[in-house]
Amino acid sequence: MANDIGHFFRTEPVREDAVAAIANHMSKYWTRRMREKLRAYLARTAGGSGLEDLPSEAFQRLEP
Amino acid sequence: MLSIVEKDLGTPAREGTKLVTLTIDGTEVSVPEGTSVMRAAALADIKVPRLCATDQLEAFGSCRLCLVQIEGMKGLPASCTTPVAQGMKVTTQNQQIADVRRGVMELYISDHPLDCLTCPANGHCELQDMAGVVGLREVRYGYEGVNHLAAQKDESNPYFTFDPSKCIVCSRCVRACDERQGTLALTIQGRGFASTVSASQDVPFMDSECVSCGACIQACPTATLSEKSLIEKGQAEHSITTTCAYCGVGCSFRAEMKGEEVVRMVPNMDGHANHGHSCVKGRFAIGYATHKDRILKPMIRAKISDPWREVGWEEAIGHAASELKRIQGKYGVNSIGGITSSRCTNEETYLVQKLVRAGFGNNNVDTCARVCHSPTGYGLKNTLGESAGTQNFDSVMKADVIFVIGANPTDGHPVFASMMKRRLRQGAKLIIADPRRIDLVRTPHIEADYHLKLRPGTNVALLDSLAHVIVKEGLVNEDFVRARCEIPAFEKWRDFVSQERNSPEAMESVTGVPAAMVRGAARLYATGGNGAIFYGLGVTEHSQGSTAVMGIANLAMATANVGKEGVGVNPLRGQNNVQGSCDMGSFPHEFPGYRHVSDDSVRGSFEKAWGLTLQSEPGLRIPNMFEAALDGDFKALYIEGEDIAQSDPNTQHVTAALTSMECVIVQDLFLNESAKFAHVFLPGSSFLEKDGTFTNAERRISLVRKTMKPKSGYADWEITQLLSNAMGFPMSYKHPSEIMDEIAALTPTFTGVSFARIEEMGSIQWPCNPQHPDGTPTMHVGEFVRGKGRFLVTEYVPTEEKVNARYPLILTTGRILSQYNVGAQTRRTENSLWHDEDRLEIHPHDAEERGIEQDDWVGIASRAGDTVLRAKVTDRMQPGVVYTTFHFPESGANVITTDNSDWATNCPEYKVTAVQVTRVNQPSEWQKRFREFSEKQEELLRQADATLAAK
Repeated sequence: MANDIGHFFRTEPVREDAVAAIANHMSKYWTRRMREKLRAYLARTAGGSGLEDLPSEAFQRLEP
Repeated sequence: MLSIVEKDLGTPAREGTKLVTLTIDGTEVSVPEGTSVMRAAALADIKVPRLCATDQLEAFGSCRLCLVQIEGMKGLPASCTTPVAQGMKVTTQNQQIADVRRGVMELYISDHPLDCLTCPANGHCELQDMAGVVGLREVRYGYEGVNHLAAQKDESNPYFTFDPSKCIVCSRCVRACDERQGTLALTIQGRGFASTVSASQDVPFMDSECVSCGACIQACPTATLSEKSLIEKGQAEHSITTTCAYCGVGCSFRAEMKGEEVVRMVPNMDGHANHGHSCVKGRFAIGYATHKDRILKPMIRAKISDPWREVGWEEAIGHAASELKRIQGKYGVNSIGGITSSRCTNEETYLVQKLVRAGFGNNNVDTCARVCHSPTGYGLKNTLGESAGTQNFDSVMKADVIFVIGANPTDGHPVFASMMKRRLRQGAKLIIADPRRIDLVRTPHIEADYHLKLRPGTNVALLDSLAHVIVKEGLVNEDFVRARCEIPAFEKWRDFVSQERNSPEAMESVTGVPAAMVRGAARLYATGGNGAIFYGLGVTEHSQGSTAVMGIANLAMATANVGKEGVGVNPLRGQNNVQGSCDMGSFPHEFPGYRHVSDDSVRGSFEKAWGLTLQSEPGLRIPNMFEAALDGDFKALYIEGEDIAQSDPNTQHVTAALTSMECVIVQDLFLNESAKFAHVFLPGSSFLEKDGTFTNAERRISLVRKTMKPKSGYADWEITQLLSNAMGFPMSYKHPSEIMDEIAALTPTFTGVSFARIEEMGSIQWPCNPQHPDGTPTMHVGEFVRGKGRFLVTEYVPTEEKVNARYPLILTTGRILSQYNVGAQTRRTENSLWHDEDRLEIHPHDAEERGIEQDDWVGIASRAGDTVLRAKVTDRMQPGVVYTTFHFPESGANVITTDNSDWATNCPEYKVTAVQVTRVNQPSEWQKRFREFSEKQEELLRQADATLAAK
């Protein structure tokens, strides 16, 4: 789902705007549980998670 | 037969500011230009006898009973077809007129059965009334001549009888079918004395094109067309105005009653959404409310393999609250949640979300709009600034180009479809984007100018290519965009859609729609005058549902088709209160009025009103609840009026989640599919048993009025209140109007709404506040709700649900006219005579390739599961695409659909599932298990009944 969100924002010409928009979406619509699960998944699959760059960068900006 | 409380003025009203003054029987009357003499007389309380005239229909001038004398005019003109003129002097009563009228009545009565005392229309028959009015005392012709008295009744329709022996051939039924419904199923066959009303080419009504909307019955001045319920029960004694509980059109009805028994439902001529029209569901399909399957006593059980035990309300509520508290104590505050329903009132929905946020102490509340129109809320909020449609339904009568995408209004929203068809017959142009050849593509006197027969899942590609043409061919309304929209966002969008990869030619291989058609449709929409877009779940229920909604809003803004009548972005809501349930804060991230839970000021206002601290984090959406349940973190669910086990995708995933919970509380009319997994059943109330409000697709808030006491003892809002009190969060509302007062006090778009105000106005379209004291029929006039309209870039991203050699076809799902949603209501009515099973529609080519013939049993297998249905081979489908409805639980339509969902809202991608279809000769394994489980659950229910009987 994080990648799907990233796909919507990837046409944003300014990368910073895209990252901020994705982070905002994850913050406003995702539950804490979803964020925790993604964080745990990333920790488990370090380097091979399949999470694309934009959502990955956005996700790192979110508070735990 | 018109409602017992409505006054018929003979001919329709005429709009216009120019008044004409005339004199009728010495009384001066001023009426709008174009008004008939008959209506002008009625407005002056002067009754002119009539039979073929009714203000539901245009004047016809056939019965010759309404003749009047007009100074300076020859003969006796018909008052229904004669328009008023300045200074006209009309005489409605004198000896000459009386003689003619009496003679006309003699002719009518000479060929009419004299069975008034046993006739169902007795006391409310226009022919009987007119006989009295003209002073008929004899029929000089006798009754022995050639007549129609032996004509046979047509009883084929389950809801009404056609008795041609009582017919006076006034053509009101034929005209109603033409003018109001637009189906043109009826005609007058034969000539002169042999003229008779005929359904289609003289076939029984059930075999004709008739859609049983009931307009002909309402128009009939005699008992020729009568409801069977009226024949059985007799004339009603009082009438209560209420709002239909079916689709998002929200028709106003008069429930005509005898005591607490509904005799018949008659659409309200003053209804602001439906103007006196109805469909087969709203008018007739109310038998479910008194169906034997209704459960009227609370029940509890420890495990879903246990028999149900009927208990009193106190024990049921106490047990439910105790379980919820036990589970929170063991698994944490976030381990429980609730689901509101679009079939419940605003007040009930508001209370459930309040119970969850305040009583449960979390934001784990969601609604069935999650699986239908959640992308509408997201997409429109982010572009136009408000999560709602922009117009009222009447606006379509000023549209010049109607663009229907992903909606099937003649089946899903039939009363609005009739209005739309009326506008189309007046000459409005029509663009349809739909993978199937829906009825609206070609229907009597209507043919779509463009049917863009796209492949399922390619809406965004199509919308982008339409936008490409509009931009590249200079069809953008630059003045509007400059004045009303954010320019940097527009430029970004313009540059994006201008790219060659978004051209119709480049997208043709994706959408399957010939580029020339896309270009033609884009030009028509952009330049054809007022362009109005209507869309439904064919837009939202996709992995790019929210993106498509934004794409639609972009098109409307680019062409200045927002902010005035005749245009707009119009989501056609599936259920009666989808709009309302969303407005009422049913989503886990929003309070009522679409305000985020993290907004300290908004949250503070609710904390102050409710007297406690609320969570600032979004709660679980329905799919999150399922995942959490399967992970062991979510253990209890309170479901009011929703059937997730049938309506949500990937049924096996849903039922596994329900099975893993320790306490499922279902509040419903019936032991629905979800209730088979429940531990507590709280018997709910139908819309006839409670007060409240529904908000339809045009943001119109209408009153639902109680016609009878709740059969289980409590209305749904009272049950939620009992549960809340037992949970320790006190509620003490005495009436739903007090709940609405609280909603108004806490929601800026509702501050002017109250039951008293709705009563006074008939209905109110929100926003209704000091800025819009009488409500808001058209939104975004002069300025968008968010200030400047925001274009958003909508790149087409193909769904991950791909066809391949194993699953080469795409399944898409939808509804049919006679059934409603999961069918819990309509399956328990005679509507099943039209549709008694879900079928798989398949193109002849695909069928032939697989050796499938009409009515064969076919297996449908997807990556999620498989099921078996009977085939309906039809060229309505395009090759490569199959379709089914989802009204019957045993069909397992959602066993096949997958977990794919909209990127922004998790709305399921019901409309795209890759499948294979093969001929089979037995039910699927899931269906066998389903049947076994259902039989077991029904047995456990019977055991509860037996225990009670033994007591």
